[in-house]
Amino acid sequence: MPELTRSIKIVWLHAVGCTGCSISTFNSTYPHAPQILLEEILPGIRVEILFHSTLMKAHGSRALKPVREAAAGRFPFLLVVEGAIPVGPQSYLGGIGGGKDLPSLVEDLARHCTATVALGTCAAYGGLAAARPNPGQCRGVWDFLESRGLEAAVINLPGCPPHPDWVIGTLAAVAAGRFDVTRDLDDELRPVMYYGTLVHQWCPRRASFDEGKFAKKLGDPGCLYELGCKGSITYGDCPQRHWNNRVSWCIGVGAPCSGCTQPEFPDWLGGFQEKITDVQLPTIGEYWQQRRERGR
Amino acid sequence: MRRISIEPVTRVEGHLKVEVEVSDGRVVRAESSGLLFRGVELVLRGRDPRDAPVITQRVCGVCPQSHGIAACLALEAAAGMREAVPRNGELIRGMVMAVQHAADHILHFYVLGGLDYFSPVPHAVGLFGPTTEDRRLVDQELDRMRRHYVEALETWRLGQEVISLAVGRSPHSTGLLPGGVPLVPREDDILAWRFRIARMRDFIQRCYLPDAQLLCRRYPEYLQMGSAHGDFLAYGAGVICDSAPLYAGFLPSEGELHPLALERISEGVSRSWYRETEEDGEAVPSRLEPMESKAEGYSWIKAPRYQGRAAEVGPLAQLFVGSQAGQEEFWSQVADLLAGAGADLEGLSSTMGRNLARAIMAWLMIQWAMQCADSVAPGEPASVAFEVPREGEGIGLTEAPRGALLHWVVIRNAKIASYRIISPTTWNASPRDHAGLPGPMERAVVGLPVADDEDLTAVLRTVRSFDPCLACAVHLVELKKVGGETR
Repeated sequence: MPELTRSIKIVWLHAVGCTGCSISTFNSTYPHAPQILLEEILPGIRVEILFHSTLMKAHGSRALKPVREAAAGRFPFLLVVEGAIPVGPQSYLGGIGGGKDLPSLVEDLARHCTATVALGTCAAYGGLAAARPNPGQCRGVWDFLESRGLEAAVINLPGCPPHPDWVIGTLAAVAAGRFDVTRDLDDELRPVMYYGTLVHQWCPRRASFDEGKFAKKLGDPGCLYELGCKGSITYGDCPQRHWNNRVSWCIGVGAPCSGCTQPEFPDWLGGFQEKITDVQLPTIGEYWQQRRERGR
Repeated sequence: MRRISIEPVTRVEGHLKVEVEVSDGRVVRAESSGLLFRGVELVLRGRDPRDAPVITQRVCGVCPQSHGIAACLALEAAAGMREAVPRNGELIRGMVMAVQHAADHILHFYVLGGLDYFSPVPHAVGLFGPTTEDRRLVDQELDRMRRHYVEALETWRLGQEVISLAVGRSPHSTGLLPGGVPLVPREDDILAWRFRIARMRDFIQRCYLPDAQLLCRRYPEYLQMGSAHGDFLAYGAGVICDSAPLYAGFLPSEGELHPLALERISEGVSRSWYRETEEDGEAVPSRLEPMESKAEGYSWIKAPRYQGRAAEVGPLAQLFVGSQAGQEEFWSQVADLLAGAGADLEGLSSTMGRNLARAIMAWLMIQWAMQCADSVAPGEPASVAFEVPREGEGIGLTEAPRGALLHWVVIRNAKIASYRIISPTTWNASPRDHAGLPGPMERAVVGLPVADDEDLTAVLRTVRSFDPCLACAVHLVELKKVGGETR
C-alpha cells in the first residue's frame, strides 16, 4: 500500500539578519540539502518551501504570489522567520516588496499560519540584530507578535546560527504531526530535545573543569572557562552533536563557547573572552532556573 | 520611457531592489537599492575589541570567515603585532579563506546565479518555477547540470566541514580570534582538511570549470554585454602567505595598475538614507544617522569611491588586478581557462565574464587551500596571546568571495571607539554619489535589452553576475576618510 505523503507548506521570510540560519540549515547532512529542496526529507514527509528569497527561481511580484496568498489565509502553512523584526522608523522603507513593510507582513502572515518558527537567536530573542544600542529597534518574533496583541504559537530555534539538525528535526517532527508545542518546548519556547542540557554538562573538557585545570591562553589544553567560555550557562546539545556533519565544534577547536543559543546573547553574557563574573557556577541544569527566580 | 521595478531581486543575499528605465527596448538608467538597515558598526562601539571578530562575522552568514579574518587583521595591526602571529595561524586562516571562496563560488554558480540558465528540476514548479527563459542547453546538458546541482551542494558542505575542522563550526566560526587560531593542528587534522580539499578540487576541475565554460560558449553575447566599464579594485589576501593567488591594486579602465593607496578611498551618502552634515565626505569626521525620509535618497547602501571612481570588486577584479600584478604562472593558468571558454581578457568585463572569472578564481583558490594545508606544521601552535592595546588604530584588508573587504578599528581606553567596514557589495551595488556617478551594477545594466513584454532576463542575469550580498553592503554609519584624522 502506498504511503500517504504528509507535506507541510512553508513561507520562509528574511527579516533583519545575515542569512546565516539558512546557510546553516542547508548544511544538513541527513537529509542533505537536495533532498530537502527537491525530494522528501523522510519517506512520506515533504517540506514544501513556497517562498525563500535566496533559493527561489522567480523574482518580483511573481515570487511574492505565495506570500500574498498565505497572508490572505488561502492555505495552511508554517511561517519561518529568519532575523529579528525591526520596529523603528527605518524599517518602513524596507521590506521584501509588494508595498508592505516587514512588521506588517510578519503580522499578517502570523495571523494565518499554523505556527511560527523563529529561526535563529535574532528571530527568537532579538540576538545580534537587537544588540546594544539596537540601531534598527529590533525585537524577537514572539515579543513583536505579543506587542501587536497576537497570541501565536511560536517555536524558537535559537543559535547563531542554529544547528541544521535542530531546524530540520523540528520541521520534520511538525510535518509528521509528532510535535506538540504545549509539551515539547521549554520556558524559552525551545524544543527540549535539542536545548535540554547545558553545553557544560557533556563537554569533553568537563573533567579539566572539575579538577581545576584551566587553559590560560588560546591553544592550551584544559577547560576554557577562564578564557570566557559560556558553556556553563548555555543550553544546547553541541558537545554531543557537533557541527558540520558532526566533524567538529567550537570547543573542539579550542575556541570558547560564545553562548549563541541564549536569550542573553550577545549583550548579557559579558565579553566573549571575559570570564563569567556574576555567577556561583550552577548545579547542572539549575542556573537559568535560579536566575529566573531572582528575576533577571 | 517606462520605469520597471524588480522587488525583490531573489537569489541574492538580502533585500535588493533594482529599478530600470527602459526606452526603445534598452535600459537607459538604473537604480540599485539596499532595502534593510542593520547597523553592526554602531553595535561594535564601546565593546571589548576582542569581540569584533565574533560580532562582525554576523554581518554575513554567507561569508562570515572573511569578516572574521579582516577583523583579526585590523585588531592585530592596531596592537602592532601582525608579525607575531605564528605561521601556522596565517596558513590556517589562508586555507579557511580559500576554501570559503571556492565553496561560495560553487554555491553561486549552481544554486544562485546559475538558475538563470538551467533548472535543478525537470519540471519548473514550486520554488523552481517558472521555466527558465532563453534556455539554450540541450537535454543532455541540462541533465548534467541537475546532477551537478546536487553534487555542488555536497561539495559546498565539504568546504564548511574544512572550516569547521579548522576554526570550529560554520557559519560564524568561533575559532577566528586576534592572535591566531586556537587549534593546535595535528597530523590527523591536516589529513582531514586535505581529503576534503582534494574532493572540492576534483569537483571544480571536473564539473564547475567545464560548466562555466559551456555557458560562455552557449551564451556568447553575454561576453559582450554587462560591463561596468572596468575600474577594478582588489586588496590581496591580507594573511601572510607567499602563494596566495590574490593581489592588491587599483586598475583604472584606461591605464596601468596603481599600487593601493587607502587615502584615495572615500564614501559618500548623498543618495543614501543617512543624515549628512556640512563636513561629510571630507577629512573631518562626523557621525551619520539613519534617516527615514530623504527625498533624493534611494538606498541604505553608501557610495564608496576610489579616487572618485566607482570601482568594481570581486573575482573579475581579482583576475584583472592579478593579470598585471601576478606572476607569469598565475597568468598562464588563467589564459588557458579563458581560451577553453572562447573568451579573452579583453572581453571578460561582462556578465558572463564575471561568472567565468568566479570559476577560475575558485580553481586558483582551491589549489592555494591545498598549499596552505600542506604547509601547516603539525604540533606547532597557531596563536599567540593578544593583549588589547589601550590606544590604537588598525586596518584589515582582505578579499571576501565577493571582493575587496576593509575593516578599520579605532581603540580608545581599551574599547572600540569606532569601527568601519567597507564590504564588496557596498562597492558593486552602490547608489549614485554626489557627482551623480552611478555604482558599477547600475552602470552594468545600462544598454541591456528589455523586450516589450518586460522580459528582464538580461538585467537579472547581469545583477546576479555580481553575486550581490546585501547584508554585507548595508551596515553603517560613521563617515570619515579611511586613514584620515580620527576623533
